[in-house]
Amino acid sequence: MPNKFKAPPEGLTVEAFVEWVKALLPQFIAKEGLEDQCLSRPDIPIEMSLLVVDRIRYRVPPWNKCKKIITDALSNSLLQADVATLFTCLEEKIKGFRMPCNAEVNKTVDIFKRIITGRGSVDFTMGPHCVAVLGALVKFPPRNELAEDDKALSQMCAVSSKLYSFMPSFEKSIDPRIFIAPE
Amino acid sequence: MYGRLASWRGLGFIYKLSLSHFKFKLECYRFWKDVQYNTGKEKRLVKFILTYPEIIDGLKYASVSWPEGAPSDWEPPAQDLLHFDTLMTAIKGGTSQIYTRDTASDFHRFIYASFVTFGRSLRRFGKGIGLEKQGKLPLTSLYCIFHALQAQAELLFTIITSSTFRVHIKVLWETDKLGIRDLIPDFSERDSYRTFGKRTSIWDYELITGSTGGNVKWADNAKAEDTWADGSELEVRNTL
Repeated sequence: MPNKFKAPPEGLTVEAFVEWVKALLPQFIAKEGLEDQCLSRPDIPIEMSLLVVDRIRYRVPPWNKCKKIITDALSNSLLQADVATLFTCLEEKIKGFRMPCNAEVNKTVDIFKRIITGRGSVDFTMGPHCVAVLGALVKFPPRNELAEDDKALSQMCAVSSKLYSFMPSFEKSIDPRIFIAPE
Repeated sequence: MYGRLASWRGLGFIYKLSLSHFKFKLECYRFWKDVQYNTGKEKRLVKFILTYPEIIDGLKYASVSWPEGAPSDWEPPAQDLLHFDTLMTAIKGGTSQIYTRDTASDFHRFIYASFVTFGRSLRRFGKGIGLEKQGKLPLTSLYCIFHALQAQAELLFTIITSSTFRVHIKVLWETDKLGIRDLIPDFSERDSYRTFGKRTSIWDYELITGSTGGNVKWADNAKAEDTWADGSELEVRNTL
């Protein structure tokens, strides 16, 4: 959530409020952005979905794989860090973490504990966040390299236009009563 | 998306839109003569409204709920239907800017009706997906439901990206000291929002929690509680 949405009431502006309202339907807002991105890259075929209906199960990689990713990321950055010390410190802090008064924090730290200790697999049910997908496309065009060897992530980032293609127009066929009729 | 719209913040916003005091506020606004905006950014909205009258017609049911056990040809009482006559007359008359003192209340109601109808369409589609998977709903019917959802989503998207919506929020902002804070959901009122969500057929227990459970009481179900106000929701609950 951008900082402007967390601002105290004194800092509220018309623009921030309109943006907040838009956040109630990000998939459609993101779709518009994605379309712009596609139009600016006409030679690259990109499929796009309007809605993703089913969530998917996503498994967090083993801690060793996470460490390798972090190590690679650090070695490609300007940040000078002793990676071994970093991991030792991280593991100690997470394993020894105690904060009984905040359930939300405990829940999050517990996820990391399970990743680090390897006790039980860590699965999440996830739906793609279209704004994030848009961000990924902007950041890593034309192929999402992050998703290359991850089937689940690739599926999340894939976009298909089939929903629009089989429903090109809706003006003639909608009975207004559908909006109140029971299932 | 359904989860976000059916969250306490989403429902709270729609609930706040439904409050009648906005009509009074708009009538009291003193600077209508100065209300000017970039009408280029409302052309898409005007075009949509003129092109798809059936979709706009569906909005009139926003305050109506289908009574349990009512026959399929049931018609709601005329007084329960919403109308946007002044706004529609202005649009059909080809006025240069559709948002004026005369049309402001209609436009506010129009936004409210669009959110309610969009929420209902999302819920209906979510339920339809489940029924289709169980073989209780033909795929063609699901297409029809999705078609309606798509139409409502397009309408809502067109509204909130228009300059008309922005100027409406700006006018509300300037109406009194509270400005648009009256539109911001309050976490402590979340039970009222959920009651409103149920009454308007937006909130649905099964869709929210992913499990059946009927009308489980708010405080009785931890899963519903978690979904209703998850971590990120709690984090920002009253800080806007």
